[in-house]
Amino acid sequence: MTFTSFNFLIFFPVVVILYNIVPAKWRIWFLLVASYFFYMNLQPVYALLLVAVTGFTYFSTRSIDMSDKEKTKKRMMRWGIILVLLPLLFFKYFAFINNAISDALVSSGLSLGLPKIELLLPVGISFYTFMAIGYIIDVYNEEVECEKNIASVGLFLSFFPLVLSGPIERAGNMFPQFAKMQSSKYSDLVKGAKLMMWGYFMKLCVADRLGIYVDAVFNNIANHNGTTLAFASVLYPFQVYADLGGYSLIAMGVARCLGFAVIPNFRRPFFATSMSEFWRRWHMSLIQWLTDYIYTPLSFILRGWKIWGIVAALMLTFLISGIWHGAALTFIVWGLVQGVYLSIEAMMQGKRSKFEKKHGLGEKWWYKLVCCIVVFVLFAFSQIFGRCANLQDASDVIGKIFMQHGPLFLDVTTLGYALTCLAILFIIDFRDEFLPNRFRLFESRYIVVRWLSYVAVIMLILSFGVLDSGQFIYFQF
Amino acid sequence: MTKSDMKKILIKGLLFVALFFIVDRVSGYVFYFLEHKALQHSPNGMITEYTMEEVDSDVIIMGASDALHSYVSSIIEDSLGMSTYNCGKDGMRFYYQNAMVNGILDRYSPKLIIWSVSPVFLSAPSQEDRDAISDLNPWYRTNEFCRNAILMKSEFEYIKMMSYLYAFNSRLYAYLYKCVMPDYSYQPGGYAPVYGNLPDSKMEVRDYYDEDGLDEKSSKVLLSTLKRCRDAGTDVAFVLTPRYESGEYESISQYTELIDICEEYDAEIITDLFRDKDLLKPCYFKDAAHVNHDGAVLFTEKLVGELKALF
Amino acid sequence: MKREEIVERLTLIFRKVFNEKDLVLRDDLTANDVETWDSLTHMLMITEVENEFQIKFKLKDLNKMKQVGDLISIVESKLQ
Repeated sequence: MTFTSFNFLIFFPVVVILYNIVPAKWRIWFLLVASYFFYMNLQPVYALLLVAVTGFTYFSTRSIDMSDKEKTKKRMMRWGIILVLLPLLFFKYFAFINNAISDALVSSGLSLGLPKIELLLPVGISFYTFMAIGYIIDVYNEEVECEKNIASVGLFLSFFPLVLSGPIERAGNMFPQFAKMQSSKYSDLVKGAKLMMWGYFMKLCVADRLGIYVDAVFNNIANHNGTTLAFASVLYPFQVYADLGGYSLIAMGVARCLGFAVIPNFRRPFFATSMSEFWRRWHMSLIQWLTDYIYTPLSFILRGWKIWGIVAALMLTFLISGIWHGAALTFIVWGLVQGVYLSIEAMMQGKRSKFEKKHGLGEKWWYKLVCCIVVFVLFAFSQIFGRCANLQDASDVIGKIFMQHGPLFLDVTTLGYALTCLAILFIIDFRDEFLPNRFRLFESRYIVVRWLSYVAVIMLILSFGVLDSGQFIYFQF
Repeated sequence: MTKSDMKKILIKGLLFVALFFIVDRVSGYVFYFLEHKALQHSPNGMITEYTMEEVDSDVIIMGASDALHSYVSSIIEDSLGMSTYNCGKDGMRFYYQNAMVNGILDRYSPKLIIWSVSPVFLSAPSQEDRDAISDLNPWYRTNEFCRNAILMKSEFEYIKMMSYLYAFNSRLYAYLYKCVMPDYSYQPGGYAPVYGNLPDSKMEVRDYYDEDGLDEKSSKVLLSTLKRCRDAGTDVAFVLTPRYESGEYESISQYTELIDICEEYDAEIITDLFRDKDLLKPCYFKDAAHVNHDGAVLFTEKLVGELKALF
Repeated sequence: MKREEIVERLTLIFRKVFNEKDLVLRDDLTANDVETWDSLTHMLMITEVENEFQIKFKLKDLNKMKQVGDLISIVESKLQ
């Protein structure tokens, strides 16, 4: 069961209703059971892993809290992090490393003939592992009080709105809310429903529709020319934004219906005028986590190297980000490219400010537009590595984009729906960015406008959304 | 949550559902209107609609892309002296084709149905096959066979199909396009030629035994359809349409079942052309699964010879 | 060292690192209030502060600095 399966549309209202009926002191257990039910509907066996990680987290934080000596605290923290990290390293990276070593041995003649390992990745492991590590470190730093109720810790890591794809939440934000377990207010339900509605629109109408075209191109690189590949590469960042952004909005909305406030993950990233601003608007919960737990300590340790310390810290942080996204060389390259972008930007920050001030460019709308476009192109380029299965494909794509032009492959109906919905998304984001108090639809003062807007969005989802797998582009090559 | 909150939710919720119900219905009627306009303007582009609502030829050719691109309607028409229409559609499998045949029988009884098949015709549908049946959505409420095929898509399909908007998912632009733009340039009679050759390469060997087995449900459904044809006086001729492949198939369960069903219901099955030596040349095939126009002409000419002998 | 002197010297550092000639420090000033103050320039500022006052921060100190007032207090305590 995921947010876009029909079962969820039954599961979710039942959970919300029961949550409000159950007496307050039992709510945490109810949500814990509901979350594990949700998780086990996807991968029953791996729920045990979640239990194990919960156990490691709970015991290490309690140990840190109960000991007086700084040395012991540090040791408990380190052990906690290692134990929590082990499942992630094993399931996500062991196969990659093992196969890479195996390939290397085979190609250098020392063939071992060992079978390749294919491990099924436990769902959500990248997310709950990071949440657990964050909590352990926060307890050590005394940022957050150690939670003594194991149900709370269990719920923190398994909370069903968050467990599959984030946002990556913090103990400091969730535990106080878990302590209260308020029932849902009317305003919560309305706000939550609105978030979910828009999230479904983004995911089903924009992301999945764009995905049909992008997949048709990128799954068939050999048969497409550079023009088509370039076009698909331009569409892909929008697909990812609508996909993860939409999913995050649904997560926020679901949590909100239950009365919980969860951090947002995206803030209209394509209006950023610099790469560093982009990364403050894109996948914010992940970046915030990486900043607080990796970048800040790293740049602190390396601060003696001045700007080069910053550069090293950036490269390493984004390398880790790349690896977190997936166990493949393409993700490593993707991460390093981001690191390079940000390092160059950091080094040129002073010169850029001076240049902008000298020519009064800061406020000119056309200059901002050019900056947005440059940022987008840089990001889209890096995303080619994120989309391709291996480095060979990525270099083929890039080569073709520059060398091999030709007629653009079009699927009129798919692109028609995709671009219509993308345009709607863009207009709404534009309004939110530049005219936040005008042309309100979901937040209009007039009930007629609000209700017609809800109906319109639902109509869009039902008639333009990708609601099954029958929307393939039928090819004949 | 307070009692007044709960009351508020209930009342507003019901009102909203009522509003949505009205909008959904009205949109449904708009879509039906658009669909008919599109059908009038571009019948070649609206194969499903044309088949379900308008076709009235004596001879019907049924099947997937193998039918659409291999059977030259004009040759059959000239040879047999009966009006012929090719109702094949790319990507559609058994349940869709079955619903088409029954939709036709609801309206009239053709003299002959030429049904293009492969040895694994009676296989279980994949999820893609089941999803592609959405093409039948406009007849969900009016045609029992369409309804049964659609309900196979998923557990909760009957709930989703309560919405007219859902039934017309991803059709708006196709309808608008077909109301305005010129129709697909198929030949008269609905046959759509494809062009291009295979390079002179070795023929693929297809391992039919490695694929899934017989689907009992498809078999039962086909039986009842054939019974219906027989009762209506409609002859049925299954034809194994040539593919540029080799591989043993004569004893796989789907194929033997098809042979048995044909015997039971006096349906013909023409198998000689499947591995015909004249036809199985790379110059007659666009890809392993489809003959090109030259291949189609040669194939249809041979086919009418067989048909004349049988009927 | 008196608090006023600390604030004066910090102001010079902030203006230099963040390239804001007229920046005035307040206790409740945070990175949100200064456009060029982000996680990249933050560490540069911290290094300058350490060099200026000849002190060394710990990572725990950094986490406690939510606003400029905290920074001033921590510098004060390290100078005693």
